[in-house]
Amino acid sequence: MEPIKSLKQIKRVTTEYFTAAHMAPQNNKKVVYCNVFTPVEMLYALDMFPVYPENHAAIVGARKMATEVAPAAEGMGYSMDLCSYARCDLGSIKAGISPTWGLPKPDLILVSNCQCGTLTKWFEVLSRMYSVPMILIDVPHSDDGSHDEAAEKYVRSQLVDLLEYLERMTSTKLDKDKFKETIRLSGQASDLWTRMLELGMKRPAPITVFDQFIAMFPMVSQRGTHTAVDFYSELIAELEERSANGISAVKDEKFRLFWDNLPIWPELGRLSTFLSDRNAALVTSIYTWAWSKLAVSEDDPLTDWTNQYLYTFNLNFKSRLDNYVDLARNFQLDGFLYHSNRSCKWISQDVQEIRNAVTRETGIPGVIIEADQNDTRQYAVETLEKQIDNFLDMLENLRHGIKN
Amino acid sequence: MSQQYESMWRELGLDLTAHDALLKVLAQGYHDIFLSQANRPTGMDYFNFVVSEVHGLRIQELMDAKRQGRKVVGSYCVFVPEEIVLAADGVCVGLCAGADFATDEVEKLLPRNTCALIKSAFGFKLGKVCPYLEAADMIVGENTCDGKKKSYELLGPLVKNLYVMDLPQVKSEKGREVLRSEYWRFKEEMELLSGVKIDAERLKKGIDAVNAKREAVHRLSRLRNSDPAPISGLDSLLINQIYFYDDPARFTSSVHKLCDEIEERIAARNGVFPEGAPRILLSGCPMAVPNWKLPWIIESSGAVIVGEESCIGERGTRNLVETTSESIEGMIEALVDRYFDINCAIYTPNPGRLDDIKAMKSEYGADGVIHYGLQFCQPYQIESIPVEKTLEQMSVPTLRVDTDYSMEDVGQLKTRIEAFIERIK
Repeated sequence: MEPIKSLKQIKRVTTEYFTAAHMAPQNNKKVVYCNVFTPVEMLYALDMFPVYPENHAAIVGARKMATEVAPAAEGMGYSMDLCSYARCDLGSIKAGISPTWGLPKPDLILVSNCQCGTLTKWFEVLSRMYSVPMILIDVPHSDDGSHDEAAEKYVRSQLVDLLEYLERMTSTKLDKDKFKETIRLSGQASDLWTRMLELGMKRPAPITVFDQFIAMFPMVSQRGTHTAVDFYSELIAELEERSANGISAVKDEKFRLFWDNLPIWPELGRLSTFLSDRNAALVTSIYTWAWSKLAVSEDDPLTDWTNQYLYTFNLNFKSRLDNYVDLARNFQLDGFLYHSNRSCKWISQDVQEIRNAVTRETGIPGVIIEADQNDTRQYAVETLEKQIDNFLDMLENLRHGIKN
Repeated sequence: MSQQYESMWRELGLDLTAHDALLKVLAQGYHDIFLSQANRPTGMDYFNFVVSEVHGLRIQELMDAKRQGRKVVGSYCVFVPEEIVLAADGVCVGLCAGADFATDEVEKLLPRNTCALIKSAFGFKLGKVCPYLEAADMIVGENTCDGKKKSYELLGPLVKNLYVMDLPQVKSEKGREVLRSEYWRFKEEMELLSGVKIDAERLKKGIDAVNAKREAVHRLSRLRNSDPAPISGLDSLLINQIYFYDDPARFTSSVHKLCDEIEERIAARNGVFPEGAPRILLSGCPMAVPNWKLPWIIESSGAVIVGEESCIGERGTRNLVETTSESIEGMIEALVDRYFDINCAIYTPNPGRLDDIKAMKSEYGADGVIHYGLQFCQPYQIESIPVEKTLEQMSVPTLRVDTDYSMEDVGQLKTRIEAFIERIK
């Protein structure tokens, strides 16, 4: 199929980002390592430069470099059972091998445990390694997702402290106009990102989840900047045009599928071709939707961030199930592909129960494939393909009323 | 034991065939690992008896307590304040999580790469072999690691009354506030469950009972710094495990009785290991009953374990609750102070744990440290590297071991541990 032209800009966007990251110290900008769900608008507004070890690890994985660098982390003593993002990032530092010329040395490490606990331990290692301070935003687990006043107070007060700390560190008072402008840009990027994801509802879909994974970089690392807004504006214009002209992401779209969990970065290209050859389109994924709700109000962003930390990223079983069911309906799904990711306990722990519950609620079947987001030593891609192939056969049979 | 308690186990809904099989394995393992040790203090007879009746008489006691209107509360973690349970006239018991059971069924629910402790907790439930779990009127889950946080969502529908306690993961003043509010919430929940209003007098009694239990194990710990070692690490671990199950007052007096005997043995230089035997400090993940694999390998290789920096060990029992306050507010505050000092690997950063290891190493005269990590336990596995690095920099020989509950790696572990013992001799 005809490739999406706007996605070619990703190379330029990432190169410019990492160049700016490496130049940040020379430009008197403090470098802050942070996790992907961080209120980076604060950092941009204070002229600090956010850098994402998770992004770095994902790029290592996508470039199929995990087997070169992860063993270096294992040589440092980190078990192969640990998250491969952590191993790839730490191993890359140790081995001196990186597709982004490494990352600039941080001045501060800022992390929250709303994503997982491993991240905090990994960043703690980085904090020791670089002898820089680390701030942890401790986010209580949201349990049943109901309103929790004490937890809200706890998280919000930490954000207030964070802002004060950042102001002290930069010897700058937050410029409210600049802050509002950053929040506005961030909200725009999030809205555009949401619009792009919604285009997957069209039949046939003009974009697949594989392309959305590729398009994630500006949303993750540059929300709050013009770069992200410009990139997604252009991408959406192209996708809408393609859709109007009946150009689909997958030729003769036959199966509309869902992807659960993180991507298997080293296999993006291979699995994309594999599914495309079988007229199967990955039209949505709960992972990409995580960046769709990041807009905050200019008047009280701290409260909005607090609610995001507690009730958006930190989803309990029931909330997740509701999301899957909504997506199944909105995207007219035929099947679910669940990636049981060896690296990610947070999302994978209840995958079997989620699969059963989703099928019970929607009648739509799903298959669980065991793999890893980065480490190709943890799975065999041929086995994954075989499982997916069998699953597609089953969907085909179901369509023809044949029981499997 | 089987016939005597069969109707009780049936009433609890246990799978009697599976349960019998479990008891058989447990009895054989206990015989081979514990009863075969030479020259054990006679005070261990009480603990032998407790183990022999762990699913029998003790469960009978719990059922009797329930009949008297008392509530049984099961927990999986040392952050659950037993004092509050006792203040509500309840009984607090640790729940089974130290052996593989019904793994096939568990892996239909949880990913294979889940730590053995969590899988075990589910295995005992799905296999219907844990009378403590079935007897509990409330099960308290706590949000510590990612695996547990997510697993409690799956355990909830399997058990009759799961209560989840949130825990801060950072040691700041605000983190302390979270723990304080969680303990007040837990107090209210216990009052609701038991119908007992917890006042200062009741809470003081609860605090005194648990403090007494802790003082007893502290006394035992101090005696372990003698050479020759007056008690094995295996027996000490067993006592720390029984700490979670037994009646507090009876446990306390039994530990003191044992300590009296140990003091006499120390005076007579009567040890369970030869003088000068290599001394090991264990550090890392908790070892719930009947997880005795690693200590058994270490002590059957000629070294003696002199301390456990573990939840089932000193991390769990260190420090008493301050008793100066007469008010309920002051007592809850004292509980928060005591529990907030537990140096669990869920805290980031967690430098206090390293300080504890260094202090214990020196206090008990350990020659080396073995760090025990359960496979797939991310917090302790990641912390093991700085622990090893710091100790080695201090010239303290350190060995990191990652394992699970299976016996498949026993040979391999034995070889590594024997080599380590050779190094520290």
